[in-house]
Amino acid sequence: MLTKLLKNLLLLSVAIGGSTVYAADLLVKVLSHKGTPLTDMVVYALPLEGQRLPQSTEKLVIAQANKTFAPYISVAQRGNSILFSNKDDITHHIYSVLGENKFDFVIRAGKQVRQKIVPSAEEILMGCNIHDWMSGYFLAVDTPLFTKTDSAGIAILKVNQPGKYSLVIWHPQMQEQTDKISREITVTGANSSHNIQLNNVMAEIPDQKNSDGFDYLSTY
Amino acid sequence: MLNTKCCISFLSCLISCTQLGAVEFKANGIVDFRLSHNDTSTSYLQGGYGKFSSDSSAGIALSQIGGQFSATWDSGVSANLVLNGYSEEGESRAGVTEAYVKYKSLPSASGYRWENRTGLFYPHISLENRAFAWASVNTLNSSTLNTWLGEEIRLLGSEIKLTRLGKMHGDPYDVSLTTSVFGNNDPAAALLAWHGWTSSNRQTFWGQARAFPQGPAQQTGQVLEHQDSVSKPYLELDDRLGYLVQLDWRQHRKGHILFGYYDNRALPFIVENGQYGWDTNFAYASAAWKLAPGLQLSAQYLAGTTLMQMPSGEDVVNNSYSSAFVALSKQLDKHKFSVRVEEFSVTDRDQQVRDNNDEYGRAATVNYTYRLTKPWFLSAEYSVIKSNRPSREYLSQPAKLTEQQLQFAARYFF
Repeated sequence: MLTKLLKNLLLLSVAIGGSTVYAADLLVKVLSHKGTPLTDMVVYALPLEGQRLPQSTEKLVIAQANKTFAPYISVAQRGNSILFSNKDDITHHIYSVLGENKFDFVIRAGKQVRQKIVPSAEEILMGCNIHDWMSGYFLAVDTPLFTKTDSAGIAILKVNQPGKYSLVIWHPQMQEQTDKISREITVTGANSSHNIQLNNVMAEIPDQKNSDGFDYLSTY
Repeated sequence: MLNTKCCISFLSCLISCTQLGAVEFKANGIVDFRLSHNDTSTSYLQGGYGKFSSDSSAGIALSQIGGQFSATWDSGVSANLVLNGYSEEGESRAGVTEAYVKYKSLPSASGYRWENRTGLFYPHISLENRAFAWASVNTLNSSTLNTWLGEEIRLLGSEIKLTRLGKMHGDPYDVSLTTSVFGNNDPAAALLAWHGWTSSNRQTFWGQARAFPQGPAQQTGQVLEHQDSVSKPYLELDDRLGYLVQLDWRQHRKGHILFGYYDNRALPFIVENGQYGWDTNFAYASAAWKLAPGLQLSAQYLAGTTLMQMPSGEDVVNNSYSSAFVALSKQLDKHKFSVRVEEFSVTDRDQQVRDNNDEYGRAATVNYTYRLTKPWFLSAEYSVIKSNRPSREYLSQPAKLTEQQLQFAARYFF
């Protein structure tokens, strides 16, 4: 609630002109084709003028919890590894079989597995070969400037280097004409806000639930 | 003999599989305690015509103790053994119901996955018996259709299943095609012919023989005098393989529809030690659909024929048969209510007047289940079966009969 309030205040301050700070906040609001806020949309900014940005130190953990990938969508800077952490009391068999980054491993209850992602990897669809309803996405980006929208559809990127950037929106269920929505922007050092609205309806997001609702089914 | 062979090959598979990487052992199962009150005749399990598993109102019975044991290697290979047993009315028995090695591949980059089961296994026809050790999920008694599958249909062979995974094609459904070749199911449908459709949770074990009602055709000098007084469903009599094909459609989070065809391709005029080959085939369709959160509609239909002949080629039993049910199940928090209605028939198409297998009946089941704790389920279930079976008159019973059963169960899953 407090975060929401602060964000709204920030929105307001951006709207009335903003202040000149060295680290500019890039506030991005992602809206559906009907104008409603969209949660968990990946937002990132790619430097277009060779701005030198420090490598992201964010540790990416993808949990297997309640037989789901948590979170459903993860994003990290290219070259980082993923730590898979099985919080369930059962075994999972995680795989990625599409694209350049193929891997599979069995992860027992309560265990962790670190998986290196090849540098050329971009979008990775992950599944579990034991629980077919489980699916998750991972996006590797060429920038440390990445995040996901919150429940109000808002994402904030803190940009230290002024210049031109490509602001990109991505979600696996987007049904736009291109794979991603991108917009060229110029960061001057002042805060700025950008509203990005999708043109088409999003495809249904899989809810990663076993439809049976019974815990003792034979899956052998 | 066959049992020993099976066990040896199963164990040798287990040993050779130890080369396949890290292994995980799992044991799951069910313990099912029951108290029942029955208004019926001698149970079909005792060689009578009674359509339920019990014909008395005895004390608490251990209606099912089932365990499924698996060793799964990281490579996708698993060895699986399912044992079932019971202790009821002074009789305690246990045996193997399934034993097979399975391989499940990873999906390919094009979104296809294949699986293989080799050994002794159920075809995946039943939408009811999906809990551990083939226990029924929503009701205590399986439908007549699935009770029959548990009594006379088992595949000793190999199955290949190819699945197109929708999530890798952007589709909200998976489609699978399964084909199996199998042996050792040549006498299938003999018990269905002679005791008709039944409803219980009892499965036959590998190698088990089951008695059936003896009529005038079994008397000396009559057409069935060489038939043994028990039937053994899992025999290979003619060295001919049968086959099964099945198409599954799984709509993600909504439901499951499947169609299939079974043919044991048995030669109907073979007889060994009183056990005949029965040329049995049937087509089936099953569907389960989630109408609303917690509300599921399911239905199954099966129809087929069976033929058993004298070595001379004269038809002894030539039946067509069908069974269908529609069930509705509603879950409300820890409570689950299920109702099921069924219709079944056997049509005797041969000329043997002393062996009338005709039957027509309807059944209804009402079940209430309360989930006491995570693994404990308490159930009350009422079942009624009305049927017309002229062969009951061979045993001085009325052809038209209404049978009822009230059961209380405590089921524990682990």
